[in-house]
Amino acid sequence: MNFSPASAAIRFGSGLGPGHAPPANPGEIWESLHSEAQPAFPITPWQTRLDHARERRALRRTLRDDPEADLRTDLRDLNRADRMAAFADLEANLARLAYAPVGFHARLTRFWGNHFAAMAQGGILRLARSSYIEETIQPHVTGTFRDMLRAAILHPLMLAYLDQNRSVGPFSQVGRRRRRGLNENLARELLELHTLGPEGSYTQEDVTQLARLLTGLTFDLDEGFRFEPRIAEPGIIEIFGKRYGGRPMFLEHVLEFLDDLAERPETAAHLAGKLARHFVSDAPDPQLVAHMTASYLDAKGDLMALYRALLEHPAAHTPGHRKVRAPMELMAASLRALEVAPEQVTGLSARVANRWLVQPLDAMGEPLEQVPSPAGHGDLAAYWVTPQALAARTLWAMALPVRLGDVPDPRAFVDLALGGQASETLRFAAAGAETRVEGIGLVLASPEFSRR
Amino acid sequence: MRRQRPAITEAHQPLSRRGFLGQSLALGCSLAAAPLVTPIALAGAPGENRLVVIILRGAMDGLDLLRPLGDPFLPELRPSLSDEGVGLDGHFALHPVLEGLLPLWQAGELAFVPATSTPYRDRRSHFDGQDHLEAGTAGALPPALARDGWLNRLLTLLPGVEGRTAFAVGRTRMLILEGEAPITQWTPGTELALSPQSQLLLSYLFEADPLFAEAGQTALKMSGPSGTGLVAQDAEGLAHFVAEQMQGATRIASFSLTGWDTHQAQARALPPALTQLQAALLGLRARLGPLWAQTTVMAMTEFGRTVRENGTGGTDHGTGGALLLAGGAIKGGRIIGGWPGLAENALYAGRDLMPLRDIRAYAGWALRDMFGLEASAIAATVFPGLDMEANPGLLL
Repeated sequence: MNFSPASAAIRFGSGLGPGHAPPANPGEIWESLHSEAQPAFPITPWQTRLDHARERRALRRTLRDDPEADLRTDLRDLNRADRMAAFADLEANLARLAYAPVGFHARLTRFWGNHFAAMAQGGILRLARSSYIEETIQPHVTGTFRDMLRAAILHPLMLAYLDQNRSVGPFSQVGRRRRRGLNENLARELLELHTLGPEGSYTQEDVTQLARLLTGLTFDLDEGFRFEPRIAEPGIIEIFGKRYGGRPMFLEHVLEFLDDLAERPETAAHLAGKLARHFVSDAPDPQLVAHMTASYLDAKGDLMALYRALLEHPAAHTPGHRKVRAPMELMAASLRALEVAPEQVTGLSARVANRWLVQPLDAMGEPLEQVPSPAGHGDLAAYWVTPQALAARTLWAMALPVRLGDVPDPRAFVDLALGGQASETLRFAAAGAETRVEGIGLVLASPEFSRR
Repeated sequence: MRRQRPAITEAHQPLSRRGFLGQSLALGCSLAAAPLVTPIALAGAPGENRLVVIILRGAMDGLDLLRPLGDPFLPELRPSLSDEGVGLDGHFALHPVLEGLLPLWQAGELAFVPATSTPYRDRRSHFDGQDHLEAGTAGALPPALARDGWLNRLLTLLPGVEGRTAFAVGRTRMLILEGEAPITQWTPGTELALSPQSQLLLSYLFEADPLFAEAGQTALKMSGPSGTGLVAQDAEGLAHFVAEQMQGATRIASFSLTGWDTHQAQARALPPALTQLQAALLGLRARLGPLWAQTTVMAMTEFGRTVRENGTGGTDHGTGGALLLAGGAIKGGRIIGGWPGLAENALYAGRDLMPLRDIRAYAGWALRDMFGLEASAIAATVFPGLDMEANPGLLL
């Protein structure tokens, strides 16, 4: 096996830095999932987002009843609090990546958070994506896919994002009375994006049947997730040759289906392929994916087995970096390489956070608390490489060393940041810059440093 | 000698919202605004004389700034960089884009030392060269954490020095003003200036990766001087800002200008940097008004460039180079310190202009005459171990 500690730190972790020894072998990367499962740097609890949503709803109701009421200050304060919390969450997510001993766990949290892409589209629930990931993804990264699937699909943010809370069984109590019907959005994405994959063998009929089965899943701002029998479609629903449900409908029927879905071979192949594509290559070795798929199925969806299969396979360690760091990963790797202290990354004023993190990330293609679609950010290397995004990466990379002021010698830094694998061109550029800060900036802005 | 980091404080609130600040705040709305700046450091000192030190980072080509058109070897050595100029004394001519400086020359407010350098030799690294220039020491540099700058050591000799509110526009730390004496730095908003050298190097880097090549070149075009993304450094605004502070209690200021590393197509690459330098000088003169008469400006670089043009119309890292002096306080309108000539046997290592005198001696004598110090104190503290030799009489 071609295992290189420096390459592995870049490919599977947060990159290299003077304060972090790269993993000595694949086992160390795997072990780090346990030791890094409880990261420092807290994220705003989902409950806080819910509380704010209730307050916002109350303010709006007051305004509706009394248009003259002066609530601008209250609404503004609430919005500001939400925004500040989102900035703090961004800083925490960045710090978790930048300061983890290895960072594989933080990278996987991002991977699964993107796999179960969901966000609040304005309205009373705002800027809540990090809180959602913290509640649904983070606890299950080292658990089973089944548990993660349950947590994500039943979460209010997902239900709202994919319109499940608007879907009403036509023959349910509410459906019959109010002539409301199904919304297939979540059902379709659950099969296409979250489990079986776009290549999965399912039909429109399966989607429709699943939409019927999923009715009843909803939420309210007081309790959060709720199963509402009055909108649940009653009766037996047959999908993939198995019968689910009954009269009346229970949440357990939905969970039973989700659990079955989690262990289907197509789900295993989809997840294995996506994970290998994310970490290794746009076109991963089919033997690697097959090995991961088999391990996942053998272990009944135990994600630790899936990761082990990835890390232990030689094809995961072929030399060369074929993927591109996402904007936040680039930032974290830069902070790590330059040993920027956590205090300089967290607790920033709104102005500084906005200028230094939020706006640059937005310009690089990772807007605050947003995903571009239910499919999340694209996972091919070229996804992040657009002229505008590269200009934004360059701006940020050239600015970071200026901001720090005191920077190392670029000629030494180029080896440190690239683990001794820097090309002659990059060494030349680092040494040929007019100033130290520009030399550092050029290393950070280089395609080589953007690769992982 | 240990650098006292706490002595440098960051002022987050601008002192004044007039003039340059208003301008920079207006510019400051862009994404690039906050962090993309070079500190200029200012310090308050007693007396009425003003000193501005401009560090030209990247190795300014003195032979192109001040073209020795009278030297018979020039056309052969520099076929594309010797065609014309703004004649000064029959031997030397200013680079054509510096025509705006001619009135200063005529008024005796501009002078050049054409062949000088720091004691740094042979390695020709920008970073080390700049550290030598700013530390003002000879021989091996002290360890990074123990370094301080010669302008800061000057402050320790002056009575009644106070930390001043200081301001920054530019892109680099100013080692020259770091040290035990109190100074202040400030970083106002400005656009990022990606220097021509950085653009060139980045374009090599992007080209080397097929995935990044096309998008990278487009990004650089968007970012170039003519594009909207990364505009040129605002040297004039910087000068205005420095001048405004000098109207108050500030007496010493230092800032950087970049864009001098012209390895390629120098005929095109150097004018933007020269234009910035000219704008800075004219901006200082215009805004200082009557105080210009008490002002000395020194623009210095880490080393000069090869006397021969290279194969790509540029020049490479050299040794001897030019020191530019300006201000109403100087005895200008003249070339100082002699000319070694460009004959093969007159060159340093057969490739570079021979420095005739240590640049620190010029700076040291200027400081002595400006601030009424003993030459021995300069040689003991500001430039330790320097042999000051004769006074070149830079000031009026």
